Amino acid sequence: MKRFVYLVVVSILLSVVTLNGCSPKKSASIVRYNIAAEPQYLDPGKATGIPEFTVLLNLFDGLTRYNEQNEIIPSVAEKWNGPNENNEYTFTLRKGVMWSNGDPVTAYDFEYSWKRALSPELASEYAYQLYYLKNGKILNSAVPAEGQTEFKMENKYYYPKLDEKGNPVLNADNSQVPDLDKPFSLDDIGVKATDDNTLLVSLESNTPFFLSLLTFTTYLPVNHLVVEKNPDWSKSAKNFVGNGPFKMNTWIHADKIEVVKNEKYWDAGVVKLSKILFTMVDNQATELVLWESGQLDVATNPPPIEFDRLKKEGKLQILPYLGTYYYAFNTTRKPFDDVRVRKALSFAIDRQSIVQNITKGEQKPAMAFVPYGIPDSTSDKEFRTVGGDQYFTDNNLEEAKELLAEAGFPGGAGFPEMNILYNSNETHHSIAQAIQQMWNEGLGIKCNLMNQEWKVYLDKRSSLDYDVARAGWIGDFMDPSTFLDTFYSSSGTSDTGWVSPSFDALIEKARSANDNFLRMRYLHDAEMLLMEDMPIAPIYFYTRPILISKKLQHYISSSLGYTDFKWTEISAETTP
Amino acid sequence: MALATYLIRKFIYIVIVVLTVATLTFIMAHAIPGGPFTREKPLPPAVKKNIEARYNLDKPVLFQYFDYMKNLIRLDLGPSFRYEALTVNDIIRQKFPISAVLGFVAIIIALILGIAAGTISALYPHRWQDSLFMFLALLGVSIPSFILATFLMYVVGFKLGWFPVAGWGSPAHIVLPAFTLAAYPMAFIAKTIRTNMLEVLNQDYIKVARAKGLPERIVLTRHAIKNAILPVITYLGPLVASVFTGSFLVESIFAIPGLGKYFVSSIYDRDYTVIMGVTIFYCVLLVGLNFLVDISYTFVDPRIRIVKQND
Repeated sequence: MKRFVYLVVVSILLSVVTLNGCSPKKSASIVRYNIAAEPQYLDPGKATGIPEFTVLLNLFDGLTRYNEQNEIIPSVAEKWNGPNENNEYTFTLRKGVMWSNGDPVTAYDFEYSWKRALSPELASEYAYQLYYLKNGKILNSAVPAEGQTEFKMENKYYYPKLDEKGNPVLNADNSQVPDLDKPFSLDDIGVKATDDNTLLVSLESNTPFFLSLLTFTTYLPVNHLVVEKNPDWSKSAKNFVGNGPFKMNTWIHADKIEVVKNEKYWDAGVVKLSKILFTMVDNQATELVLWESGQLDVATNPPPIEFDRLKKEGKLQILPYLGTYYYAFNTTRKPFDDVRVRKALSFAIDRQSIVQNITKGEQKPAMAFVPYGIPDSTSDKEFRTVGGDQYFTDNNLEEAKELLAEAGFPGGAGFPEMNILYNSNETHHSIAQAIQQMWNEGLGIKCNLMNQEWKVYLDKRSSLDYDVARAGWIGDFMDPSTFLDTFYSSSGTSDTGWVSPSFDALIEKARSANDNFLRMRYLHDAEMLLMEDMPIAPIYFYTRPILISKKLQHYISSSLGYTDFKWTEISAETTP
Repeated sequence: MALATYLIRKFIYIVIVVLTVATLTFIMAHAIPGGPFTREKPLPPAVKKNIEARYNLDKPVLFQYFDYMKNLIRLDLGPSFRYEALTVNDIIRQKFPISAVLGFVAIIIALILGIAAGTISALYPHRWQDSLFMFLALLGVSIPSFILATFLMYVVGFKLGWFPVAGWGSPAHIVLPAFTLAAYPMAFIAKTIRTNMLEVLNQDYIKVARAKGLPERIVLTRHAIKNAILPVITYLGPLVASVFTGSFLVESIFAIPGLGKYFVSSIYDRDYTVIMGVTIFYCVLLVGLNFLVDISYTFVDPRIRIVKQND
C-alpha cells in the first residue's frame, strides 16, 4: 500500500513539476490577432490572401491608405494631379519618408516595385493587379533575355515569337522563344519616377477605382536598395525592411509574427500600439477557446455552430465583407443549357431560410451578383441600390414550376438526376443539403450531393466536369468590375461555359468609357444581362463574423478582409 | 564480420525502401487532381506560365522526377511551393524538433505511468487499484485523441486554468498535448505489463527469489519487471512511429507548430516537394527506428541473436 501511495505521488509530481509560468501578463498596448495561417509570401509584389494582406498593410505604406471613415487619404503620396484625359496621374511624394532601415522612400522605389511585380522573373500570382498600368500586361507576358532570372531595371525583354497561327513558338523545354526583332523596353511601362518625389503613372484606360487600388498590397513599395542586394530579404525577420506604421521583429514560421511600432514611420505620432502579435492558429475551436480565455484579442474564424451562443452573449461582431456565394450551372450540359431550367432552379431556392438557419452570420440573401458596399459613379450612391436591390424574387416557387414545365419537365417529370458539387466544409454541406431538399420538394427534381476535397473540386469546376457547383467570389477592390469581369469570356474565371458576346461588349465598353456615369451604366447593364441569362444562381452576400476584444478601438477592418492597426488604441477598461 | 555484413545488408535495404517510397510518393502526389497553383481565381495565362517556369512545372514529368531524385541524393529536398520563405529542409529542421520533444515527453509519460499502473494492477489483482487502473486503461484505448484533446483543453486549460490552453513556448505548453498523445500507449502499456507481470510473478524463479528472502522491491525491479518489459520494447518501434506521425490532430488542436501538420496540409496544398520531403523523412525515421529496436532486442533478451551462429 505504501508503494502504491508513493507511485501515485510521484506521478502527480511529475505532471506538476512541468507546470510553470504560463504568463497571462498583458501589456496595455499589444494586440494579439489570429491570421490563422502561415503567410505564403511577405513580399508585397507576390502576396496573395487575407493573412498576407493583414500583415503587410501594417508593415508597409502605399501612396494612399483607407482611413477609419473608409475614405481614401494620401499616405506616402502627399498629393496628386489627375487623371487627365490620357489617364495619367502625377503623384507628389511626401519628403522625409524613410524605410525602417533609414533609407529614404523615393519615387524610384515605387517605379522599381511595380515593374518588378510585373516582371516575368518574379512570377507573381497577383501581377494582374498591375495590368491597369500602361503596357503592364505586355511586360508580364514578355520573354526575358537569355540567362536573366532576377529582375533588374536594366533587364532586357522581347515579345514572344509567334508562329503563323499566332501561337507562341516553344523551345524543347516548353519555354517561349523570344522574337529578337521585337524588343520590349521597361520604359514603356506606365510608371516613371522623374525625381525623388515625383511619380508619373499612366494607365491603359479610365480606371476610376485606381486610388483605391493603390492601397492593395501589389502596389505597396519595396526598398530597391535592399531587394537588389538580397533577393531573400522578405523570407526572414532579420533582413526585412518596410515603411509602414510597424516593423518586423520576429517571424517564427507556422507559429507567430511579431511586429513592433516603427519609430521611423513618417506618421509615427498617431501610432499608439507598441506591438502586434499575429498568431497562426488554424483550428477554429482552439481559436475560440484562446479568445474566450483572453489569450487572443481578435479571432477571425469563429465556428458557425457557436454563433447563436456568441450572439446571445453579445460577443460576436458582424463586419461587412465584399463577396458573393453562388451556385454555378454548367451551361454546356443538358438540361442546364436551357435558361428556363437555370432560372427555375435559381428561383426555387429559399435564400432567406439559408441565411437564417445555416450561415447565421447576418448574411443578406442575394438576388443579384454584385454585393452591397461598392460605390456607384458618385461616392454618395451604392452600386447595388442604384441597380435595384434584386433582379428576381426569393423563393418564387410558382414561377419556378412554370418555367420548368415550359422547359419540358412539368413537375420535374423526365428531369435527369443531377449532382451538386461542393468542397468539403460543414457550411457548404448544410447548404447543399438544404438546396437538395428545396429542389426535390419544390420542383420534384432528384439530386445527389458530391463532396470533394478542395483542389479536386476546383479541378472539376474549371474543367466543367459538374452539373451544379457551389462557388464564391471575393472582391479585390472597391468596384463592380472586380465581380463582373469574372464572366468576361476570355477571363477564364467563369467556370460555367457561359459565353455572351453582348455581355463581353458591355464589359469592353465599360473598360474604355471615359465618363464614370456611363461606365457604371454599362456595368449595370452587364449585371442585368447576367441575371437575365442566369449562368449562376446567387445565394447570399458574405459577411465577416469575427470576435474582437471590446478594449480595441479605432481599428480599420476593410470589407476586402484585411485589418489596419495604424490608428488602433487600447482602452483602459479591460474585458473580463 | 557477420555483424558488418548484417549492417551493410540492412543499409542497402534501407536505401531501396527509401527510393521506392520516394518514387511511389512522387507518382501519387502528381496523380491527384489539381496542382500547387490551382486557385479559386484561376491565374491569367501569362502569370501561370511564369510561375510554372519558375518551379520547372512546365517541364515533362519524367524530367521533374529525375531532377528531384538528383537533388534528393544530395539531401536537397527543394523549395516549398506554398511557402516562399521555406525550403523543405528548413521545414524539417525547424519543425521536427518540436514534434520530437512533444513525442518524447509523451512516450516518457506513457512508459512511466503505463508501467507503474500495470505493475500496481498486477500486484493487487482484482482489488480496487486494479479495477481503477484497468478502467482508466479502457478509457485510454477507447477515447479518440481529438475528444480527449478538446476535453483537456476545455476543462484543465480553460475552466481550471492549470495549463495554457494551446500554443508552444514554455514547458507548461507541453503538458496537455503530451498527455493526449500518451493516453493510448499508456493504456496499452499498462494492460500489457499487467498481463505479463501476472504471468511472470507465477514463475518458479520469482518464487525462488522470494523464498531466498529477497526484499519484494528487489524481486520486482531485478527479476519481475525486467522480464515483463520485453513486449513493451517490441511495441516501442510502432509506438514511436504512431506518436510521431499521428501527432497531426493533436498539433492542430493545440496549435503546436510541429512537423505533423505539414504531413497532412502539404497534401491539401499539393505542395509536391513538401509531401515528398516529409514522407521520405518519416520513412527514414521509421526504418531507422525499427533497425534500432531490432538491435536492442539482443541486449535485453540474450535468446535473440541478430546473426545466426550457423549463417
